[in-house]
Amino acid sequence: MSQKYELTYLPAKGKANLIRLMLADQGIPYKYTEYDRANWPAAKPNYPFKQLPVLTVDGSIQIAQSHSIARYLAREHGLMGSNSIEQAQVDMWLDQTLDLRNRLLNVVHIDFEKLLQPFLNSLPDMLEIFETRLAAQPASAKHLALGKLTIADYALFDVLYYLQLLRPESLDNTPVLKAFYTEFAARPKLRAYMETDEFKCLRATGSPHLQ
Amino acid sequence: AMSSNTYELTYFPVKGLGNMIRLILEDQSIKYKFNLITKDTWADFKPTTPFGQLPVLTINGKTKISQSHTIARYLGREHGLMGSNNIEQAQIEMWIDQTIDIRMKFLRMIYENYEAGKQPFLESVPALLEPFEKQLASQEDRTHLLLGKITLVDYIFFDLLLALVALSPSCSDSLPSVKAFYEAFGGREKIAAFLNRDDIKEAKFTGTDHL
Repeated sequence: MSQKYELTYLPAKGKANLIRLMLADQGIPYKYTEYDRANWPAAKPNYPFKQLPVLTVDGSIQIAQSHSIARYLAREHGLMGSNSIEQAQVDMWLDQTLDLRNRLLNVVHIDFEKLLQPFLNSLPDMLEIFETRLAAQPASAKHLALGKLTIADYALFDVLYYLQLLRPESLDNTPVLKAFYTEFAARPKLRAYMETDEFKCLRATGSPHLQ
Repeated sequence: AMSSNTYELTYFPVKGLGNMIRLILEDQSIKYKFNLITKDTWADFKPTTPFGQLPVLTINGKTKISQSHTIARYLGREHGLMGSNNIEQAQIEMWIDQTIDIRMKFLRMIYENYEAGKQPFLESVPALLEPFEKQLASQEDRTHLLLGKITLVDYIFFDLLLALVALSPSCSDSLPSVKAFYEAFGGREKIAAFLNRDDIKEAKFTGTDHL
């Protein structure tokens, strides 16, 4: 039986991690295909923008760009609000979180030596926005948008995962974020996925600075 | 579709990330109030924004949406510029994401590495624009990127080209379809009128002295 979704990427968690965490936690089946450094160059022309990740829907419709894939799947699976204003409210928190993730990945990929310290210096201010937001939510509903689970929460969990990989003490001064991370990581399907060999053995990025 | 919402757009007196939003509003004849923030008024206004950043779109006097592309996507959905289903929306969004990648490279160069980075960046522009060139050349109507009609990505791509052409007027000379798109879109009556306003002509592209 062919899958509705096929996610294609390179051998790393990278920009696909957010998508895979969400699919696992939501129990959404998908086929995962991976190129390695050797066979990717020849395959590039088959993909829009010659980049990965790409989501292939119903065997032929290709959606590129990890943010767009995340938003598409979120809309399909009730994780993006129920109307246009709600979608915008989720979207802005998703954008803000992805900004932080992309900055972190830029440090790792563009110029680690030069960019790491400025990034770490700016981190408290960047995390403050999320810390304040979650602190203002009721104890039973620690979510970034709409008072309920949305794609923005998965994006936040994903970036906090990477931050703690980079610096284990990253969340020491943000107790609400730390608690959010611990609670989210305990979600049964998510935890099961993160305990698989596939997840554990997959390096974080292709850079030696974040493995 | 005409919306009954009231909109206020708050931004600085630069083109920056607010210009593309104004192109949409102006070209689609969407009524809005423009709230100009200067260095003097920013300190007081900043705490009222979701992330301490501009632009912000205030809807019906109360809902504040931050993040320029989130605002653009919201307006796109409200005004029939995002296709007719989730897949079309995703395809429009992925092309928008591709413009964001180029815009971010452009902004990093302008803000962080102008002297050494300008020439290498300009040399990279034809390759960066190649997917857009191919896409436009493949359309029957070459004045629009997707779906044979105007969509949100046309506004955003045009806005990106405004900045690139300001940096180097000949940057699209080797890309005939992009150049034709740029000229056709810039010839749209309301777009031309807006860009010809004194205050818009005077508004720099960035907060730097370089552009």
